[in-house]
Amino acid sequence: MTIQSGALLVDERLPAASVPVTAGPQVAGAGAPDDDEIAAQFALGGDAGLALAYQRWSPLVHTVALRAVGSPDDAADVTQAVFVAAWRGRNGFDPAKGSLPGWLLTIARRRVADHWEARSREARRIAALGEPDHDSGSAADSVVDRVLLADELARLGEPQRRIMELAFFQDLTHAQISGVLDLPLGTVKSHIRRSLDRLRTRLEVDGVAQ
Amino acid sequence: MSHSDDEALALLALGESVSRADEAHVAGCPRCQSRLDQLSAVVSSARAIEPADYPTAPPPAVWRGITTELGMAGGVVAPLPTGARSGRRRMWAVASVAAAIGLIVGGAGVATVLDRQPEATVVATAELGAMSEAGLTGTAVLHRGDAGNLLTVSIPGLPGDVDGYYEVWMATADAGTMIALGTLAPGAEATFTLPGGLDPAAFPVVDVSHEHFDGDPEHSAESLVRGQLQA
Ligand SMILES: [Zn+2]
Repeated sequence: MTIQSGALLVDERLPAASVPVTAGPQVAGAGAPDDDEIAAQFALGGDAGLALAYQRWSPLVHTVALRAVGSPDDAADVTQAVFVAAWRGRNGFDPAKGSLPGWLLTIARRRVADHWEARSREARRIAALGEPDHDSGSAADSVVDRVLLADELARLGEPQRRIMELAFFQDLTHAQISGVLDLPLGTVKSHIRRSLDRLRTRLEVDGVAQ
Repeated sequence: MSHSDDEALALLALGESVSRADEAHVAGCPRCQSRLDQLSAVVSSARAIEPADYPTAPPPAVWRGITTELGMAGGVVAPLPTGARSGRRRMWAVASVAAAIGLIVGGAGVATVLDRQPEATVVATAELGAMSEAGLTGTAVLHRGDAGNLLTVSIPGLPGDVDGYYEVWMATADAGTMIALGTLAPGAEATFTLPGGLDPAAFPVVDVSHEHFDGDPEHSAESLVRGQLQA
């Protein structure tokens, strides 16, 4: 394989930086609380708990909804419904049993399923005959995995992120990556091992329960 | 041979070739095989990522919809003290104590408003100067009591026939960060309990704004009075 680093390093899958939450909630003095702190605030029930959880995880929920239901308006509705349901049902969230984003995504998957269920009921009513059910369950599950992995990839520092993108999307071997990025072979290998493990852990913690 | 190391498994998961010894071992070892399966699943999901899978924030209307649906007053909200740095168990203990003593802050309606003048030491006072055509002025007094810091705000002649409501804020000196303490009823003096973790010295500015029932959590930018706390 010839490697022309200029073109190769520009991957269309790179998101345009991370998208800020515009006109979202305002939380006083909250620099970047970690996920446990946000979950604790959420369980406490003060408005800031919801605001922080929304700031941190609404892009995840929204993107899963967008990918799973298609229309931006429906995705916005699903996102709103997820946070409203999560807040009203926050007593059912047990931090000992799972992560808050995992719980939010569970609610999101249910809402997506409801969305398709309503659609297919509507279709049956109109057509007066059975429609094959949209396979919303497994489709939503794979969406959740992809969105979580994309999120975690975007959170990897450099050069880890670049390394993993070259390995995943350009199918470069670790030796080729080492050449392209001018990094020692051992460094590339160890970044690959650690990053892959971090991605796996993210799916385990926040992903669809097996 | 001993189990394959994680680097070899990671490379195998990515479809690279590894040493013949590793390949032979993994083929015959359930433990390494199952580890490889997990990593391979991650790789195949990752390779299916499309540009639209990278998380993007929902439109602003979604947050407004949520606060409206939940009947939250909006405003800048302040985290509750949890002592998160001291570990999870401790954090929950502190959290429940905070909840038990009613240390609740946030938008209008949830601030703890005391209806009596607290017996507490005066720490600082602020002369609140006029910021609007109405020309109202007032005072703010910061007390330190047993339960924490209290801020008493008084604006004589605050009109009652307001379209909307009045909200009390504490802000950093540059007004870059503002915390909503709660609403101020017309003609009355009100005392607010400050969030436990809040250092009043870092939020020396007291501001009272005219807010509208529009679900917008931010300061309306219509300040009635403003002043700086001084010891
Ligand atoms: Zn083995």
